[in-house]
Amino acid sequence: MIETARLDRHLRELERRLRGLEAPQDVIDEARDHLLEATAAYMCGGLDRGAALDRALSEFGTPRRVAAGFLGARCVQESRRLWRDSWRLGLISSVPAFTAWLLLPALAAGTLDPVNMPGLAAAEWAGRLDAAALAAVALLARVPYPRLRERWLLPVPFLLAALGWFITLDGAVASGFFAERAATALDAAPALPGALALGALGGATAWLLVRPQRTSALVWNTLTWR
Amino acid sequence: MRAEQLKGHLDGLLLATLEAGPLHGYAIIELLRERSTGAFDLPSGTVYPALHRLEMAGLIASDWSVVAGRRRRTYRLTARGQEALLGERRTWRRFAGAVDSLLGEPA
Repeated sequence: MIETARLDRHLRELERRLRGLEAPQDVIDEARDHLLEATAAYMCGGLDRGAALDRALSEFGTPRRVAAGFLGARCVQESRRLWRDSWRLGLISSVPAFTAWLLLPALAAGTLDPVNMPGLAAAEWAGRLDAAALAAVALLARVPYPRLRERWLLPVPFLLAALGWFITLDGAVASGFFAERAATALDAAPALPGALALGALGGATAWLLVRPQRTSALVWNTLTWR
Repeated sequence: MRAEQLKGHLDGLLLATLEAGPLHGYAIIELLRERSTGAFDLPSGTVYPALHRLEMAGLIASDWSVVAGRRRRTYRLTARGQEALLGERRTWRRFAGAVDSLLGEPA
C-alpha cells in the first residue's frame, strides 16, 4: 500500500538521522506504534487512510526535528559520560607513566648512569606522549559532542596515554630498572615524594582544564568507579 | 500553546500524566491534550525525547509489550519520579502564586 510505503520511508529517514544514537531501533518501533495508532484514531474520526496518515506524520514532526530532539537529549548525557570515561581512563593511565618519567631520572641519578641508561630516552618519549594525551583530552573535551561526528576520535587520548604507559614500562624493563629497584630504593626514596607530587599536579591541572566546575564530583566518581 | 511556552514545565506535566498509572506515548500525548482542553497540543516528536530524558534520569521507567503485532513501550512513574512530581507541584504553586499576585486582577 502507498501509505505503508510512505510510513516506512518516513521511519527510514528518521533512522538515518538517528545514526550514532544508542538503541535507535527502540525509537523507530515507538514511532511506528505512535504513527499507526494516530492514523487509526484519525480514520475513526472520518478521514481516509491517506489523509489520516498525512495528519499523523505532520503532527509527529519531520525526521530532522524529531532526531534533533533525541540527539539533543541523549547526546548531552551520553557526551558527558563518554568524555568523563575518556579523560578518566586517559588520566589514570597517563599520570603513573608521567610520574615514572619524572621518577626515572631521579632514581638514575643515584646509582645508574643516566647517559647510558637505555630506557631513559624511551621514558622521556613516553612522558611527551602522555603530555600530548593530556593536552588532547583537555582540548577535545571542549568540543560539544554533537559536533564530533566520528566516535572513533574519542579513544584517541586514551590510546596515546596507553601507548605512553606501555613505552614507559618497556623502557623501564629494558633499562633494568626493576632489577635495580631493590638496590636503589633507599637512594630513590627522597626523590619519590617530589616525583609523585609533580605527577599529581599534572593530573590535577588536566582535571581543571577539562571540567573545572565539577572536579570534586569527578574525583569522587573516579574513585568509586561510577 | 507553543512548545516554547512550556519549556521548563514539560517534565512536570509528563510526570503528572503518569501519576494515575502506566501509559504508552500516544496515550500520554492524548491525555495531555484532553486534560488541558486543547491548550497543550505538542508535536509528538518533542514529547518522546522528553520521555526518554526522564527515563534516563530515573524518574520514569518503561516496559515493552506486543500490541496488534507491533512493539509498544509503556511508561510508569518511579518512586523518584513521584518525589520529583511533588517537588514540581510545590515549585509551580509558588511560581503561580507569585505571578498571580502581580498579574492578577487589580485591587
